[in-house]
Amino acid sequence: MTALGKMGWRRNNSFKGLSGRSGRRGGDDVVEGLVFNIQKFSIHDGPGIRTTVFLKGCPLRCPWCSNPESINPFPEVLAKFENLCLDCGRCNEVCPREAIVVTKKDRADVDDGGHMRSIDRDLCERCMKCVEVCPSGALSKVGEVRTVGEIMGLVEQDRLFYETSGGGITLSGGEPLLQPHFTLALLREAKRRSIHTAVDTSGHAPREVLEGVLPYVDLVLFDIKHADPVIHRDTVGVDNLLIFNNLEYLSGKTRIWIRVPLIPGFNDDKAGICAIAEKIRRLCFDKLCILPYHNWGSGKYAALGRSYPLSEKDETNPACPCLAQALFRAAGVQDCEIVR
Amino acid sequence: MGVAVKQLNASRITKAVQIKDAERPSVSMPVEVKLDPNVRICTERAELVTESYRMTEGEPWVIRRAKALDHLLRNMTIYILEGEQIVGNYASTPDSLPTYPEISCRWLDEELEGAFRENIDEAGRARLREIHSFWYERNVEGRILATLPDDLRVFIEKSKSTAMFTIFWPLGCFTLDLRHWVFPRGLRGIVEEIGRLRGELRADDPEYGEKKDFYDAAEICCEAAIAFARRYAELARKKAASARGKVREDCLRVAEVCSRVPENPPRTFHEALQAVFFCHLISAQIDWYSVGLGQRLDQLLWPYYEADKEAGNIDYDRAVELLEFLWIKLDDLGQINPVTTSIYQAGGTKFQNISIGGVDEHGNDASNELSLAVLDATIDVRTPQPSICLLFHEKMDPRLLDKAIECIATGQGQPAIFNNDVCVKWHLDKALEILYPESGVHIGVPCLGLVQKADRVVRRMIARLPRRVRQRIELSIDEWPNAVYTGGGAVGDALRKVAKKTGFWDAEKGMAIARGWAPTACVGGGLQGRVTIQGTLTSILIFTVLDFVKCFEYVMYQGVEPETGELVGAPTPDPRTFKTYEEFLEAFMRQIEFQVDRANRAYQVAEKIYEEQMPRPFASACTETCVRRGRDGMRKGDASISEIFSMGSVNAAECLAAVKRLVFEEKSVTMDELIAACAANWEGYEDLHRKCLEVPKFGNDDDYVDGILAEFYRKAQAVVHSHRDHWGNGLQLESSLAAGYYVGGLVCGATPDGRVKGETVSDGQLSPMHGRDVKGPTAVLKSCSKVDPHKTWNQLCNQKINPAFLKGENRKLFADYLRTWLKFGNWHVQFNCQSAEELRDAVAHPERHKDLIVRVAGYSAYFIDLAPGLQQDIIARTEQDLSEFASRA
Repeated sequence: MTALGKMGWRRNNSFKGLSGRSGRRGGDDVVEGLVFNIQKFSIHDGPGIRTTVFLKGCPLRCPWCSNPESINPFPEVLAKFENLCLDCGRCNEVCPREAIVVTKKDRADVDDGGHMRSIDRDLCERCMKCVEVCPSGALSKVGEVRTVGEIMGLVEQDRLFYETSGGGITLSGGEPLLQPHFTLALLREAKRRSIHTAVDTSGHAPREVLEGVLPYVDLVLFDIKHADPVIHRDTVGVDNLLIFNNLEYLSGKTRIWIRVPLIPGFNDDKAGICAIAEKIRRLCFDKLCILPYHNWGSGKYAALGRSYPLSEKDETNPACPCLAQALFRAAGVQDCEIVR
Repeated sequence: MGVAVKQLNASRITKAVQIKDAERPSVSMPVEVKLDPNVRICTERAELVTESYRMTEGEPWVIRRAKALDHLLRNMTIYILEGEQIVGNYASTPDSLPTYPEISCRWLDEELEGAFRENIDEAGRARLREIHSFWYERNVEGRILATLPDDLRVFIEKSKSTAMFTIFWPLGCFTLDLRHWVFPRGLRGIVEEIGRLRGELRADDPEYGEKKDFYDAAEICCEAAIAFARRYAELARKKAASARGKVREDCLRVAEVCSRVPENPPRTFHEALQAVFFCHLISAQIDWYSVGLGQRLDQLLWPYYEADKEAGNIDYDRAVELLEFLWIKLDDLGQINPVTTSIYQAGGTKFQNISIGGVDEHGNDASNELSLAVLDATIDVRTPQPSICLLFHEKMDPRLLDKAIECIATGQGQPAIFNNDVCVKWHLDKALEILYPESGVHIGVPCLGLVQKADRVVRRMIARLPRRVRQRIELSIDEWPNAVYTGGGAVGDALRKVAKKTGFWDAEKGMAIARGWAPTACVGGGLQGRVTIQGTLTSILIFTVLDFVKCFEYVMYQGVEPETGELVGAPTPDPRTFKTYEEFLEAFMRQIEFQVDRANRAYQVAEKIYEEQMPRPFASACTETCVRRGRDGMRKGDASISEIFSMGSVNAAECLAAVKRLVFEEKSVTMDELIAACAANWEGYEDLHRKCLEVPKFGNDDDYVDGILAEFYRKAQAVVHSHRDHWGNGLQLESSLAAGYYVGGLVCGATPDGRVKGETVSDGQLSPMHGRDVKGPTAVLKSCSKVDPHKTWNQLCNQKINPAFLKGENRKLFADYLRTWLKFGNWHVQFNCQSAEELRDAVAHPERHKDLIVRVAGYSAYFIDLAPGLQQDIIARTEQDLSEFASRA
């Protein structure tokens, strides 16, 4: 949480006043938040055809995260020099910290094979000057401050699709509850406009935040990673106590789809699955979704100047999700599907 | 699939033309087009037709035409392949295609030693050359070239470098009135009807001679068609004699069917199918170089199927099997084209459309079990032809939609989906030609059938009107429905009164007719054997494509072709002097006007020659209105719409958007810079290129550019419509061009939408430019919905979908997606499955595939952003999905 504290995130987004239902009703439109993508035609994040709003910032550090750009709660530079750099050198000219490192491409066949670039993330202050001048799109900014009004404008564009298919808006991330004011305002505005709402959460959020948004949420996509608190803390950085408490709290109060990312070597063994099943068996939820592991986010790690925490060759055995499904069913969780 | 179908399907020879590098965008090398070397050119038709024409010199054209068909049908080689249950052949061998020297032959003659050398032997080439020497000056092509004024001839010869591609290509799609006219009485009944009408002709009729010739010709053709079918019956009987067991039974059944139809009304499903094929084969193929079929097969065949089923003679599987036999026959038809035409015609397909779904004349769902059977047959045999069109509407049986999605999932791009409600409305408008003055220009009459009957009554009523009014009304009626009267004032009031009293203006009837619409050739709509639309009762000889991107380029270069320095467009003022966007738009419209005007003048010359020299007595005999009028369908009489195809509209709109935003609104770029950058193909102007690419693009639900497209489309349509064809009808802008778009790109330099020189233009008139729609498929549909189809007609949107979207649970979502599309009121959408090849291309050329989104739960990424190894994974997955669908089918 120190990174968040440094950004002044806490101060600006204090949880105070959230429980008040009336809030600043007329003011929801102008509430701002940090968003890194708005994806229309999402068909895996809740029922029907949906628009998923990805909020930036997450308290967890799951090594398998497929959206690494979602983790930090501030805008970042995404660098795809390898494919797109034209070697024009403009980014070097404008960078005030000289954070863009240029190395000669070492090619035996030609004298001048051009240059390779990378960003020294320790020096980079994220002033985004390089992004502004880059002509090829090799540098781009991930994370934009958007108002609820702007986002709802985009969400409304697909209203007819939601109405026909039973879809709506899904807030995902990152962790949407890490921006409680913004999330609340988005949800409240969506409900005011009669749009179905879903929140995709890690469950790691203060109780009062959950309480605050609950009246405006039609469906919670609740991620469960592991039943064991120690393993959970060691792997993703936070305890799972709060998460399971929150799940219990939500149980029976709203519709819930529990989502379990099936991570090889972490939670895909019989013991891991049974432990999760045992924890949730008595709770009230609609269904459990198994999300098979994929490493499609690995390219984005490189673009962010990070290394992929899991080894590249970690691949889930194709039979594994089915096995997990069988195990869940055997452990008493009947409504269990694999989302592909 | 039965054994016989399987065998026939396996030995099918694809007649499609191979187009090299056709689908690759950004390729600037010439496109090479070649007929498959296995396809032979058959000279039999050319020989027989020429023989007949040589004997009939001096007779009326309509008779000569009928006699040529008669000679052909009685003497051409016929065959029945082993196992065939729907019979009829078109050339002397299954692997060959005939030629049509009476229409055009120069392109073939020139290429006999070139592109077509491998397709014909030396003796055949000599025969053709001899035949061509007879036709060179005499055929339609020769006559047109001799008649065209010099300035137009130059225009046609330079067609490749101008905005118009003008090609000799008779489209001429008739929609035969099988349901209401041919099937109830059979050709024998039509002959009797013709005899009766001929007997009633009065010598004082000013058209007496013409009508009599037409009736004679129609009779010759009907008799020839009956004799043709009997030849097959004979052949089948012969085959039966030397066979035994099931083969013998099948042959005998074929013999029985062929001796019965098309002479008599069909009694069984099998007979009805065979009758459909005979009529189509003769009218659209043997007689003419035509495309199109345009039948609503499920509706047409339902009574026969139902009766057969009730009697226990047929079950669903047998119906599917018979349809499969027909599909294989239809796919057997092909066409040898001039090389350039092949590109537009998507490799020489004959656009034989079969429609399913839709509504009946009362507006109720017309889909039935046969609609499903049509799709099942398509899924089974996977022939590229016929093309299946689903007339989709709210009331349609959900099972049919589900089956359609199953068919789309096989990756054939079938069926094409049409928004029935929108199309019916459009056809109603055209059928009625709107009677009241405030809403339109025309006074017309909705129901053709009623016109003739009411004629006498009308004249009696009109006789009582003041003379001035009377004369104008009489003129209108004589000329109806082509030179129709502009309503208003006393004349308009009187006419409306007459119309209402006589039932001329019968909105209900008009609606019933409009509901019977079906896509004919390509995807243009037509009304079954009635007032017909897309060239349905006429030919489009000079097939014209208006390239909007080229028109835009001519605005930049003031009408000068940048490659050659020649003035080939309108000499509009220097765009650098323009103060407002409106000035620019006006200059753009002037370029369009200039091109349309030239095309239309050429068109008129050509159409007149066609009308005179190429009547179609057989097709006319199969159309009630022609028989009742005593006029050939090619002659003025039945309404039809002459069209001008367009391409590059999306790119042109994006060009306009770039100019509007950068030059006139932001003023961050001068016109001079923009022109210089385009002329330099962006070299040295990378920043400006980026700026241009950042201007909103079509397909992202962005009102700015979508609005520009809608506005420019409206204006372009008005320009096109203000030109009249040789019958006095306004030309119609047709936006369904689905092939050949890359040729349009090849001849254009860089343009302000960010295209580089030679890069292709968008692949449908409402399809976003490849890689520029980055907001997903819903945004594309939204963008399309902003262009009013009622004005602009028939725009095509192609969408690529990931096969995973058609799997399992997702199929329901896809159905919802389609239902939402229905609500937007778009005209037409076509889906192709994303292929593994496309994804591989994305790996190699990420800049062209920015739109490929990877959809997984809680995940956000574009395909091109994935690490290389992962891209390969997804490619493998796509391949697997596709093969799963394939194996299931």
